[in-house]
Amino acid sequence: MYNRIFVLAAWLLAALYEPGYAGVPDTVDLREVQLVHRREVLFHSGQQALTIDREMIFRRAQATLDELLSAHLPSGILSYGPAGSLSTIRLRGAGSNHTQVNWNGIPLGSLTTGTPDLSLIPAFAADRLSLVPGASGSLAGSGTFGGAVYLSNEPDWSSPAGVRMKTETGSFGDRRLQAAFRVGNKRVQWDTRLIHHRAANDFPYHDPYLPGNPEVTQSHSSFRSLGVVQHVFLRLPRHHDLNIGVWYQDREKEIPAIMGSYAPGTAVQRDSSLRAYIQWRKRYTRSVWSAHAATVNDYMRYDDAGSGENGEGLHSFYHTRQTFAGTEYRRYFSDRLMADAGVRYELRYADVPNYGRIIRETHIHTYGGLQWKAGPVTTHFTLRKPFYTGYSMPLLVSLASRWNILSARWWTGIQAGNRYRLPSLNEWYWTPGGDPSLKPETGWNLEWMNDAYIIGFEHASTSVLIRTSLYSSYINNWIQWVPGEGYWSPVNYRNVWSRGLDMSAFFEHNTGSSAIKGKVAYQFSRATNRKVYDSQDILDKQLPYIPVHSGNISLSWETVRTGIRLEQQWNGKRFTTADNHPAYALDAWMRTDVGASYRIRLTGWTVELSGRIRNLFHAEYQLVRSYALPGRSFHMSVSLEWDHGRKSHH
Amino acid sequence: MKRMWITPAVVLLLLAACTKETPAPGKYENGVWIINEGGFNGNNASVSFYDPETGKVTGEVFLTENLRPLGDVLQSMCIHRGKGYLVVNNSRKVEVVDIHTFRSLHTITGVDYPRYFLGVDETKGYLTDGNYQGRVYVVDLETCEITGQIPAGSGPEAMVKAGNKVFVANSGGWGYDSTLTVIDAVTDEVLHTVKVGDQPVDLALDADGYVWVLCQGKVVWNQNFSAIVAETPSRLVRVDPAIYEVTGWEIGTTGDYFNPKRMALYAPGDIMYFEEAGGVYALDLSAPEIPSDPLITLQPYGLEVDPDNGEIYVLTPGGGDQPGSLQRYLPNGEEVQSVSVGYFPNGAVFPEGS
Repeated sequence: MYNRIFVLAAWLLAALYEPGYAGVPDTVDLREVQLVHRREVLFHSGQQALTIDREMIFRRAQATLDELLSAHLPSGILSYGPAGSLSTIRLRGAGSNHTQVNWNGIPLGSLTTGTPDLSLIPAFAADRLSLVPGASGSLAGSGTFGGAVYLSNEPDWSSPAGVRMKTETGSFGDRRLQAAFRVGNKRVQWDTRLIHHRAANDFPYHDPYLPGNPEVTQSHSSFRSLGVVQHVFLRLPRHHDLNIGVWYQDREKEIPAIMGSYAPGTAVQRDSSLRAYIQWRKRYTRSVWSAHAATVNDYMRYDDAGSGENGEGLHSFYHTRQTFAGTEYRRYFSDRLMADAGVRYELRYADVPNYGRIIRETHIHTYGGLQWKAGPVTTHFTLRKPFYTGYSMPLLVSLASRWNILSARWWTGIQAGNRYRLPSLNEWYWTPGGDPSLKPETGWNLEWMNDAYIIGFEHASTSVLIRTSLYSSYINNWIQWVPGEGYWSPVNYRNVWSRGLDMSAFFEHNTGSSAIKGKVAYQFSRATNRKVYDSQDILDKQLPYIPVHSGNISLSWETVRTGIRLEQQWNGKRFTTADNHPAYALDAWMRTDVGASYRIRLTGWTVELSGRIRNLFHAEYQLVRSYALPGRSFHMSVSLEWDHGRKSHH
Repeated sequence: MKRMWITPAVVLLLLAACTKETPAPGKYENGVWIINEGGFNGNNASVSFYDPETGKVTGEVFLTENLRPLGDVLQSMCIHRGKGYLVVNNSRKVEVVDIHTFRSLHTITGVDYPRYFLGVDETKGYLTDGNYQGRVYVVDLETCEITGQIPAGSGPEAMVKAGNKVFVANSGGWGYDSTLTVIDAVTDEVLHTVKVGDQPVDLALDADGYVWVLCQGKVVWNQNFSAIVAETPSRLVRVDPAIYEVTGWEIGTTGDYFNPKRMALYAPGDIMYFEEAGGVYALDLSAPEIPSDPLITLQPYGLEVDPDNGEIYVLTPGGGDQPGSLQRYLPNGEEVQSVSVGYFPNGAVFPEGS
C-alpha cells in the first residue's frame, strides 16, 4: 500500500519537475566549501570521526540511530529490548547523558533527563552522520564526555531532482518504509522525507530467569513510528543562503515486562517531537556571517493502567520546549589563519508535573575558535563560556593539533580540553529529591590519535589504514540518584577515570568493476571509580555496562550489480552493578549479521533487491540485563532510486 | 513372647507420633535471612543468610541453590511450617522454598501485584495484592494454587493474625486509604473495616494481643504538583482486636516529605522501634510517650528486632547500585556489627518459632 502511494507521489513530483536545469554543474568552489563548512566539522577535522553519508544511510535501511551505530560501536549502544525500545549511547566509559546528539545544530537529548533516546531518531532523517568520540566541550557545550553525534542535512545542488524509496519487511512483524523526494534548481532545493517503522516484536527467546530456562514469546512489545522531514534550501542573490528545516516525529510503543516476570507489561509510552530551524548565511570573499533560530518541542505521555481492577494506574504527561537563537562570524585572514566567534541564546521551558511549577530558564553561550596551519601542522584552539544566572559555569578550552607526516598517508595528532555537563532538569527540579545546588559535572581529556596507511594511501585502489587512538579522561562530580531519607536524590556522587585504546584496520581494494572493503576494530576501555562520596567499597571498580574488551569486523564485496556483506560484533563480559558482582555480570557475546543485494537499472530507475539476516547464529544475549532481544531474524527489501541529471552512483 | 516385641514397637510409634516433627538439618540453620529487594527492573533481588554468632554472611542463597536468579524486587519473605515464601513483586510470583535447604519447591503465579504473605494455618495462607483496588489472595499451601480472593482496601500490604482474625493494612498504594481490613481466618470473610489513620503500612502484634499500626501520613498534591493541598503526620496506632477500639499517637511532622515505612516490635520487652525522620526511635509500650530523640541515628530501609534477644537490625541501601548493609545493635542502641549484604535490603526474617 505504502509503495503504491509513494510511487504515485514520485511520479507526480517527476511530472512537476522543470527540465531546464538538467546537468547544472556543481559551481561550489573550494573557498565556498570552506565558508559553508559546519563549525563542528571544521574544528573537529583534526580528530578521528566516524562518518556515514547519505548513500550508506539509505542503503542500510536501518531505521534508527541505535541500529545504524551498533554496527560500528559494539559496546556503545545499550538497548532496553528489541527495535523501538529505549536505546542509549555510552562512549569511552562515560554515561548515557554524556554523548550529545544534534540535528543541524539542535540537540536531540531529552531536556528532562539529558539523555538522547537513539531509538527515536531515524537515521534517514539526515544526509550525513558524524560521530566524534570525546568531542570537545568547547565546541559542543554540555555533556560531551563520551562524544557527540552530528546529524546534518545538505542540499544537493548538483542534481535537480531525485526520488529514493526503500521498503523492508522482516521477521516479527518488522515493517519499514523510507522515502525521499527532492526537486529543485540551482537556487532552490526542496526535500521531503517520510519514515515509517513498526514491529510486533513477538519473538521467541529463552528466559534464564524462569525455572528450566523455557522458551517464551515476547509480548506487549509492539511499536509504530512515523517521521516527516521537510527541508527548503535557498541560494539567494548576493551570496545569501537560507536553510529551513522542519521535523515531526511520533512514536507509540508498548513497554514489555522484563525477563522472569509472570505477567506481561501494561505500560504504553508515546513520544512526539516537533523540531524546526532556520539558518541564514551571508558569504563574503573571505568571511561568512550566519544566524540561526530553532525550536524543539517534546511531548511524552506514559500510561500504565496496570492490571488491577478499577485501578487508576500511572499516568504522566510532560511538555518541554527549547528555543535557540544565535549568530556567528567566521573570517579567513589568510590561507593559514581562520578565526570565528559566536553567541547563542537558549530558552528552556518545561511543563513537568513533578517539578511543581513551570520551569523557564535562559542560557547564553559565547564561543570562539582559531585554526592555524603551519606547514604540515594544523592547530585548532576553541573556547566557550556558558552563562546561567546564579550558577558558576566553567570556561571551556580545547586544543587540537594534527601533523601530516606523510601527505595522505600518515598523520598524527593530539587533543586536550576540559568538559562539563549541566545537571538535567530532573536532577534539579524533580519533587521530591531534585537539588538545585548540584554542581555541574566537570572533567578533562587527553587523546593521541594516529592514522597511518601501511599499504597505499587515501583514495588509492588498494589500501590498508591503521587507525589508533589512546585516550585518558576524568569525569568529576558525576551525578547519580541515590536513596535518601524517604526518597531518592541526585548527588555529585563519584569521580571517574576513563582510559583506553581504540584501534581499527581498514582494508580496501578496488578493481574498477568490484570493490572489497573490510574493517577490524578493537576497543579497550577501563572506566573506574577514583572517588566515591559515601563509599570506599567500589573504588577502582569498573563502571557497569562498560566492557573492558570489545570489537567488530565488517567485510563487504560489491560489483555494479551485486553486493555481499558480513558484520560481526563482539562484546566482552560486562558488570551490571557498581561492586562488579560476578553473579549479575553479563556474559560476553558475539552477533553476526549478513546481507546481500542485487540491483538493476530500469529506464532511469535503479532497483535494488536485498536481504539480510540479523543475528545469523541465533546468539542469545542481553545488552541490558533482563531485557530480552530477538534471535535470528530475516529481512527483505526493495529500493527504488531515480536521480535526474546525474549518473547512477553505481 | 511375640506380644512382648509388639508392645515396645507400638510405644515407639506412639512416641514418634507425639513428638514435634524435627526437620532434617540443612545448610541453613541458626541464622537470619536477609531480604535484599534489589533494584527495580534489575532482576538482582537476593536472599543472604546471616549467622549472628560468627558474623558470616552467605549471599545469593536462592541463586546458589537453584541455579537461577530469584527475580525482580523481593518485597518480603515469610517462614511458615518449614517453608519460606518469597514474594517477588515485579516478577509477579511467590517462590516457595524449603527453609532448610532453600531449594525451590513451587512457584505461585497468577498474582498481580504481590506484596506480603501470611501463613494462616496448616492448609492456607494469605497474600496481599497491593493494587489500587486491593485484595487478599487465599493460597492453598498444599497445591500452592490461588483458591480465592478477599476484597480489601487500597494498596494492602502487611498482615498480622490476632486469634482468628487477620488484620490487613490498606496502605493506599498508588492512592489513599486509612483503614485495616479484618478477615475471619476461618471463613475468609471480611468482618470489619477499622479506620486507623492515613496510609497504614506496617503491623505488629504485642504481648497483650493488641495490633499496632504504623500509619505513614499522607501528602496530597494539587493536580499540577505545584502545591500541597492536604497533609497529615505519621501516626502509631493501637487497635484492640476484639472491639476495634483505636488509640493513636502522632510520631512525625508535616512538611518534611518523610513518610515512615518500617517498625519492629520486641514483644517480650514491650518496646516498639519505629522509623521517623532522623533515625530509629524506641517507644516503651507499657507507658507510651513518643521520644524526641532517635535511639539510632541511621535511616533504615529495613528494620527488625531479634525476637529472642531484642537486638535491633537496621538495614540500609548502598548508594546507587552498590550492596547495602546490615547494622546490628544492642537494645540500648550500641552497635554490635555491620556487614555487607545484597542490594536494597529491606528486612530480616528470623527462624520460625524463635
